[in-house]
Amino acid sequence: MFLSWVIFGILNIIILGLGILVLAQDSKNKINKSFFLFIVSLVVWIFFNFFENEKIGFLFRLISLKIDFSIAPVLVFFLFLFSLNFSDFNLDSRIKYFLGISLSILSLSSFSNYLIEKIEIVDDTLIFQRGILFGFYAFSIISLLIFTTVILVNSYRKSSGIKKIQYFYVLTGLSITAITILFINLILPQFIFIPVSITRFGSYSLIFFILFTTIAIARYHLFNIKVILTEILVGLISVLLFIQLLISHSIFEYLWKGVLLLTFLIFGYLLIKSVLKEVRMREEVERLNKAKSEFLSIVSHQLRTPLTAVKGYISMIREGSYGRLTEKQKKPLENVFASNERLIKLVNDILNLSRLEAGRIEINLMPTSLEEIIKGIVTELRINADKKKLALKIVKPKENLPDIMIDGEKMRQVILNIIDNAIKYTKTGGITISFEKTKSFIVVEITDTGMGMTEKEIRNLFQMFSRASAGNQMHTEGAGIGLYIAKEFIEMHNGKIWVVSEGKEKGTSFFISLPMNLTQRNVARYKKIGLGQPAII
Amino acid sequence: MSKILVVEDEKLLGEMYRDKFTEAGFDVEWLNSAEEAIEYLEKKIPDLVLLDILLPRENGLSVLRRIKENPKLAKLPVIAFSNFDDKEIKMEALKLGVKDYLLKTDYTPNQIIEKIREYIKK
Repeated sequence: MFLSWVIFGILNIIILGLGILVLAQDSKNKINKSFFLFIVSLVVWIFFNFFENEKIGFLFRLISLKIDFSIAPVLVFFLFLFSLNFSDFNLDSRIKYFLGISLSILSLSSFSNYLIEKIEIVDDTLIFQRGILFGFYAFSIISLLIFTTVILVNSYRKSSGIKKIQYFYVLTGLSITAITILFINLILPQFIFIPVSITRFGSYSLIFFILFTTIAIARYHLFNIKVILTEILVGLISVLLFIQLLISHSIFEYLWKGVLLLTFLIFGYLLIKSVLKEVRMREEVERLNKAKSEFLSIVSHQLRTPLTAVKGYISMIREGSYGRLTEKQKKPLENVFASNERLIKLVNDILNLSRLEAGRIEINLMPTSLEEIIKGIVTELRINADKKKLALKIVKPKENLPDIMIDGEKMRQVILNIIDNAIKYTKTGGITISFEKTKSFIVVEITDTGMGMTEKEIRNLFQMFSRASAGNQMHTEGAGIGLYIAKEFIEMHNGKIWVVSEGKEKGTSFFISLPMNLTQRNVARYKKIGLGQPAII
Repeated sequence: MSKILVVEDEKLLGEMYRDKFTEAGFDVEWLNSAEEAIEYLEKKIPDLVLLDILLPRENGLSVLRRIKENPKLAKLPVIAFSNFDDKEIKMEALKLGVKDYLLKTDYTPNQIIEKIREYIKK
């Protein structure tokens, strides 16, 4: 019995400590406040749920049972409030007040016979009969829990990045705990006799909630309490060392324990300072990245406006809107149009690059036909190929290719870039696009009869601002960003891109391999490591 | 003759689209702000709206919200276009019922006309 009390006590202290920690981090934030209220009601519920099943006086057990049932609606209500605040879900205040008042009345009813009747002890377990309100009571709690879960799941679906991961862990922990407690403590006892040792499991299942929330806190900055955790840890150890100092038996012992405490306090202070610095640096980097991204979006918008005007007016002149063009006028206008398209692409690439570096590019997976994307690109670029009398063909795949989960827009950008380059760097012959399907991948091959590349050029091809020598000779446009971005986009799909060429003037083959079973969860995530290069995690 | 409402605050672009769409046989009404567009739509219903998103003071999303609230405008096709390719704004516009969201630099005026004809037919 003593051991179970100790374990129970430690569990409660950990849960309450978690709640206080979260409130201390930001006591004005409604998410933190509602989480704390949830934790407090949870601790109260655990306390009385525990003691109603302990071998102590009947009266105390009876009161514990009543309070257990009374606090459950309050607990579920605070959990519901937390989910509303965490998800930023807008619910009319009148509905919240109505729910709060209704659940308060339900909570008070547990002290009457309408909820619980005829309580007795059988084999050390409290048994009771359901009152007329019990069905409504259970229905209310389960409904509110379902509503809470729906809100959190919905927000999880809509969220992205780190917030999505936070949701996942909180939701998982809550779900395991809620299902276990509901099933073992509320539903099952209505049909069969459940001994105390099993009902206890319901309370202890809270460890899942603590575990998953702690992971969300420690690894994914939920509530941003890394600093407080460090401070508390240093504080606790300092207190222990101080107590050790006080119970010294000799001057020598006082001396070395004093030195130890002082040394620890100095290093503890330096540790807290460095954690604070790291957190502030991270926040500053995030703020700067966000500011940079917003700045670039606005600048791109401002750059794009005159580019749109040039594109529009030149196309209208070429279409004859301002009179017939002479043959002599057509070529210069074509050149102006092409130069303008180059500038537009450059602005797009710079914006994409900046977003990649800031980790702000996201992959939106939808079932997409790669074949259809490529057919669209070929239709679009055929006019360029025809001008150079190059063949541009798609080899139909041997078997029907399934739709795969990809970000269609990004994949189109990648493949368009490669085929467009192939047309640019091929003087005679043509470009062929073919497909291969393996067990888990679809591989697209884009082969041209163009200028080819050396091994050294292939090695550096996907680096930023890198261009093969053909690029420097034939087409001096292009800053060498496109293939770097293409590689990043493909790797975000857990795919691969590689190049094969037998050398100068021997053509080039680009291969893109994409998995067929990609889901939003196993998309490669980008994380900034300090202020350096982004890495896939 | 189909009536197109173009909401575009940039004079250079507004004139360009007005000229090209008129040449293509549309009856074009060109307005410079969200407020003017909202006022216009309370009195008249065009066949299609070509709506810039980044506008002075109120943005194009407020026009979309007004259109959504007005049952008389339930079937009005709206094409949003912008040179501001913010993912969240695009998602919000699509949620508010735009038929398409175009990046202006991706389309010549003629290509936009093709889009207009596609959505008016529907």
